[in-house]
Amino acid sequence: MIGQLAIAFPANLGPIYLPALVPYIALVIWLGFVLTILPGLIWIERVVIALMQDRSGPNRVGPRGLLQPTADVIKLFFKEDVLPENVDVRIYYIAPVIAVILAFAACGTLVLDAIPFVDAEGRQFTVPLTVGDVNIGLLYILAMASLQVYGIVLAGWASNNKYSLLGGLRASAQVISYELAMGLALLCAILMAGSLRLGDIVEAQATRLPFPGAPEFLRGSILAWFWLGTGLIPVVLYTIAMVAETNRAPFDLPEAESELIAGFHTEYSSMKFAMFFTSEYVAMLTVSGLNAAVFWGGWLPPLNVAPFTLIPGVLWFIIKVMMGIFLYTWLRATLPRLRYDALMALGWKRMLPLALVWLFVLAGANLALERRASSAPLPTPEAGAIVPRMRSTGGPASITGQPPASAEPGPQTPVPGSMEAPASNGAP
Amino acid sequence: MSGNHGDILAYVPLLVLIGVSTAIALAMVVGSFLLGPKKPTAYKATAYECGMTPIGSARERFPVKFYLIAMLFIVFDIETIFLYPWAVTYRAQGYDLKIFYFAEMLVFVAILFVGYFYILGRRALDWDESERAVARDPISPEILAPRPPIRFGNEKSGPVRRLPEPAHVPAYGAVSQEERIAALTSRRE
Repeated sequence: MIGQLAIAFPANLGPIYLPALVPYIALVIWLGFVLTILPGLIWIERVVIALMQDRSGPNRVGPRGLLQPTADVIKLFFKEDVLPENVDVRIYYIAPVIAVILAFAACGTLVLDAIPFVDAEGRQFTVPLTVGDVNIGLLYILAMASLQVYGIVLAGWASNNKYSLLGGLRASAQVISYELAMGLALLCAILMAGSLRLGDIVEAQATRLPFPGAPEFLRGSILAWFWLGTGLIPVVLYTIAMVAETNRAPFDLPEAESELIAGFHTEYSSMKFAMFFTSEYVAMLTVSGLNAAVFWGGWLPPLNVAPFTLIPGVLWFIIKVMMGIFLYTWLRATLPRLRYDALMALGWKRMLPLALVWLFVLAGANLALERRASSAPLPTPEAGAIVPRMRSTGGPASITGQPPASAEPGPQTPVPGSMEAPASNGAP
Repeated sequence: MSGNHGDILAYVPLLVLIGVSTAIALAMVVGSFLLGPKKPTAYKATAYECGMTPIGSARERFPVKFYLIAMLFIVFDIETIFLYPWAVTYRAQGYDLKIFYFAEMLVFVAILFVGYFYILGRRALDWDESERAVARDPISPEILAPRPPIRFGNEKSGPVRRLPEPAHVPAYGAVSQEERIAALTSRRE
């Protein structure tokens, strides 16, 4: 159970089927959050780094310098839009647009919360608070995140500047190298959840026990989430890969100011320059959100007891995303930049084989545990072997065997198959 | 897993999101284009090379290593894509079928690892050329005097050492940079 199903909204409000509106509510919430927090992110980063370096940081504009990023944005809008000579004008203008579109579009399938509804027959079901509740949610984010490199490469190429070109090339090689380890680390969690839908992955963590025979109050707690459930290595690999994927320190080789001036955006001025920053920060939010959803339990509270369950799930999700942002800042303040060959060696020679081997360690562990759990009743080979025994709910369960109660889908326990409840009911 | 065709409707809000983000992006570009002043000068329009006059064009050849990485990426990315449906359906299988799933993918990845070790052996993943030079010529000076692991500026040289400048090279500042460079490079040949 999720634990915070204290209230449930009626599914049908007159002629309006409310769950159909949920994606648009999610769109407004998420875009509102992103656009509000974007200047805040820059402020957070500057203040946190200033604290870590024992200096003041921005403190002139507004209280504690809070309005500094807003002032920067206004200033950038009124700066001259310099068009350097010999640039490829069309691509030069399209590149930042691509970067921003893809950055904002990538966060579409992040699940912010699960909203409980109750339909006319009194059955409860939850609808994930997300823009696109599609069954390839995770693939969609990965696809959009890897498409973002186009903005960078095109900017580097169109600028007709050697620093820009080198920055763009570095970014492309780096992003595609770390995408492999990123995808494989996510696969470890997918293997345990059995779904690419981010809502299902979070639900899988909600119904999981941290270890067989654990007390019931630990079900779906912080110990049951996939950061520990997949054995720590995937979350470490993913965290490294997500920093490299967004070209942030210590992997900010594409814009290494000591060797490439500003890298791919050397020739960009005014708001076009800020657009690359916007896309970078939104991408940071997105990959942190993916981290939160896949490895850190999404909207789930860390423990299913009273003070935690009172906080709404969407706030938990945002807290987890912001912790990812804090980690980014911490890394930037702490670690020196990698050399490029060390960067490539880390991605290809260490992380890729480790992630691939770990995936099979997890699959083998699943196999071994299942054998121990169901050693006695072997199915008849004719009937059992061919037909995949896909459970009708497709709902999640713990890797250590299926939880006894929720494996049986019924109207009393709607959580594992909750997303199918409106479909089987017949949506109007 | 609702594999019904109603799922296609779930993409509509995503299209709306893409539309909204397009609007945001265009507003940013057009806004700064309209609001900012336009005072172009010849120096402002030159490509930025640290205040120096740009030398040549940026449309030049770049290291082939980037192509190599892109090709290797395609191989491994396709492999990852094969793993996705496998990982999604793995849990839901019965025990017998799961053994089959596991063994089958293990064989696939084992074959892939053969290729991985091949490219490792060919040093296709070594970004640093000096490592490849060592591989080509095992009795190269790099083997005799091993390269220190991490230091700046030693990509091509062996151990970091500062050679005394030969006598015929004029001292720094005595002549122009071009003459000094000419003297230094003539020594090398």
